Amino acid sequence: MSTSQTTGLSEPVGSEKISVGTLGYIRARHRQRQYDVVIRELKKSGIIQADLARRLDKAPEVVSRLLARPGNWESDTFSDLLFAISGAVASVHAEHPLSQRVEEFPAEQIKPESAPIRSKSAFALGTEANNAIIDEWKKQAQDAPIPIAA
Amino acid sequence: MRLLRRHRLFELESLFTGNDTARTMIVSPDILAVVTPPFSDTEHGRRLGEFRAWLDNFLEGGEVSVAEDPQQKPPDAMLARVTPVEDEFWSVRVTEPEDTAGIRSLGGFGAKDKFICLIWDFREGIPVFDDEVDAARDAWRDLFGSRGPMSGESLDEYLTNYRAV
Repeated sequence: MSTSQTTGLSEPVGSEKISVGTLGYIRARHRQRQYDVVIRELKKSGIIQADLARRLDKAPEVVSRLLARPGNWESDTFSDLLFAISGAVASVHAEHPLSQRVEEFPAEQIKPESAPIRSKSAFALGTEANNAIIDEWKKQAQDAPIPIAA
Repeated sequence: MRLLRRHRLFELESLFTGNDTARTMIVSPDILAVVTPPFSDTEHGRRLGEFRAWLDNFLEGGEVSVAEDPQQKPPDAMLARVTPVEDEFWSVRVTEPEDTAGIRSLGGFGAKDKFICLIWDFREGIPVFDDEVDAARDAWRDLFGSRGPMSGESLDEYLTNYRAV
C-alpha cells in the first residue's frame, strides 16, 4: 500500500524562521481542536442554538455562524461558548508530537520512578514503542500510590 | 486496493498521528503532492497548510460540519454535497484563511468514514463549479469504471462525528 510519510514537519530549531505554511497548518489544527471541544459539549448538553444565543446575548445567526466551522475565534469567544453551553471551562496543556514526545501534566504524575527513561528520539508519538511505554507508565502508576490527574 | 499499489491513489497519513487514524482519506497524486510538507513561506503555502489540516482533521476523527443540500448550504460548511446529488460527489471546503477564497477539493465516499479526494483547486481558480464536478466525475470513472461513489440514506451512513448544518 502506498502511503504518504509522516515526515516534513518538525519542531522549530534555532533561529530559523517558521514558514507561514507551517504556521497555517498548526493554526488550523488548533482551531479544529477548539471546535471539536465546543461541538462535543454542545452535543452532550442537548442545548438548542436559540437558547445558547440567549445565554450569550447574541443573535441566533451569529451563534449559528460560530458553530458552522472551526473559525478563528478569539480566546474569549471560545471561553464564552464553552461556559454558556455547559458550564465547562477549557483544560489547557502542551503536547510535543513533532518531537516525538508527550509532555502532558498528567504524564508527569503518572511516571513512576522505576519507569525507564528514554531520549526524545527513541520513540515516536503514536508508534507501538511509544504507546507501550506510556501504557507501562500508566500501569505502574495504577499500581503505585501516586495520584493520577483526572 | 489495487489502485493504491499502482500508485494512482494514496492513503494519507496524519502528520501528527501517522496511520493511527479514526477515518481514512485516499488522495490522488496531485493532492498528495500539494499537501505534503514542507509548506512554503508564502500565501500559497499558508493555504495548502490549511488544506492539509482539513484532511488530517478528517483522518483523526474530528468534527465535520456537513451540508446535504447543495442549494442551501451555509458558506462555512466544511463538507457539502454538490449537484447533481444522485452522483454522490462532495466538496471538501477549506474556508480559511478568511482573507482568501479558500480551496475546494472534490471526491466521494468509498465507504463510511472513507473519503476519496480526486481533484482540488483554489476556489478563485474555479470559475464554473459544474465543470469541476464534471472533472471529478471523469477522474472517478477513470479510476473506478462504472462503480460510483458510495450512496447512503442518511449522513450517519457516510461518516461519524459530523454536524449537519
